[in-house]
Amino acid sequence: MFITATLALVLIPGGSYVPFFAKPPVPVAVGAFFLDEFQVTNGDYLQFVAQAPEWRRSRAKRAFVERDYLTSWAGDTDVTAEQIDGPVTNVSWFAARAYCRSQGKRLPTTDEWEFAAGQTGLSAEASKDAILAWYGRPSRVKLAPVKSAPANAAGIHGMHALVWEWVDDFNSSFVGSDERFVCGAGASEATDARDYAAFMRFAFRSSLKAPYTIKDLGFRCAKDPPP
Amino acid sequence: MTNLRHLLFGLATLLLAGAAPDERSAFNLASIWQDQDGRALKLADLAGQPLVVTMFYASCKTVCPLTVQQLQKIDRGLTDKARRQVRFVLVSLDASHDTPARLRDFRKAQHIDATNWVVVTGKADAVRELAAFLDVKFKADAGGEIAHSAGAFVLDQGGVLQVGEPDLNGDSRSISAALERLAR
Repeated sequence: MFITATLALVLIPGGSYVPFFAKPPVPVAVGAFFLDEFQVTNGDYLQFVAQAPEWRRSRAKRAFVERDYLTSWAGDTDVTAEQIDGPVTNVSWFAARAYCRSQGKRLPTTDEWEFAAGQTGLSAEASKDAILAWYGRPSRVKLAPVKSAPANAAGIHGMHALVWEWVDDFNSSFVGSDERFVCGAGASEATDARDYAAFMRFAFRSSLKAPYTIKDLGFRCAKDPPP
Repeated sequence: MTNLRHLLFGLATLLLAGAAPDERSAFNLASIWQDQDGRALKLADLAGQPLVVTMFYASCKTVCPLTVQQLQKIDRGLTDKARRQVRFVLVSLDASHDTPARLRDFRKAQHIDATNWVVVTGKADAVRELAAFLDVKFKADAGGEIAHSAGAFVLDQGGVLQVGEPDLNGDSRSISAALERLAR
């Protein structure tokens, strides 16, 4: 079976961005890092489970994946030709992390992902419209090849297309409105309440648990630049 | 007779610790932690005992000390039998500041002198993983504070989560009850 290599990394020069929830509401610095040009595909993930049997669907532990893990695959190592170049989904945070580690990479942080995703090359209004249009579109049973998703100004494909993506610190997205439950700093505030797309990503991350294996959730990996 | 029972209990504990953990168990997490004396420790090393796990950080001044006091109250309220078996495990969220020496200071300041209390720190990656496993949310701010969801989690002798209590300042009877049930 022919598998297209989709493992190219793109250097994202450092900079800063304003997170959706922040206290104080000031820009956060993001250091330079590498980010996968494309989302990880079923084909990429198939190669991983071939090498790492403990991450096959029938073997992965319940501590790390829910029952729907890789549910769209026909079997432990059965991916159809149609699926092979599409983004892998129904993967948990633990599984995504294990995959990236096997490549000598890691998951991007929320800040890194948002910083790279913000480089749309469009005006603020046009980019909001485009992103919300995608969020509003019903999800497809068959996912298009990752290479079909357009690149943004940073050269990264599909940051706002095909699927949502895991980030390493997904569990840093939460609103500490109830002081009894939260220790340390008080509640953060929305920095731009009109940024509905950023709010949706924040809310989505805050609803996740690490073993979740969701149909519309995939990932891509990142890497530190050489010192 | 008593000796024989102790021997059998010890053997059972050894067997439990040696066997592969349940696939839902926290003992599947392979991270290595350090206690206040710099001793290395895996969660699986605590197999065979009911555990109460809480995440905290040493410089936390608001809710964390209260959480510790609540857990100490739970500890004091246990029957002797449960108390002999239960381990209270505090895991630091502050990988960049909480050294073993700071854990030592924290234990002193919080009057944690009982040997059934284990206080550990680890690498950022291990902290993120355990928090994800327990569904603890946390985020460090620029000032060094770490906002986090406070709570306690009871694991059985095999490391499987039995009770998660997000709010210790309310009713913590679910924790005590689980511990009494697990103590054999």
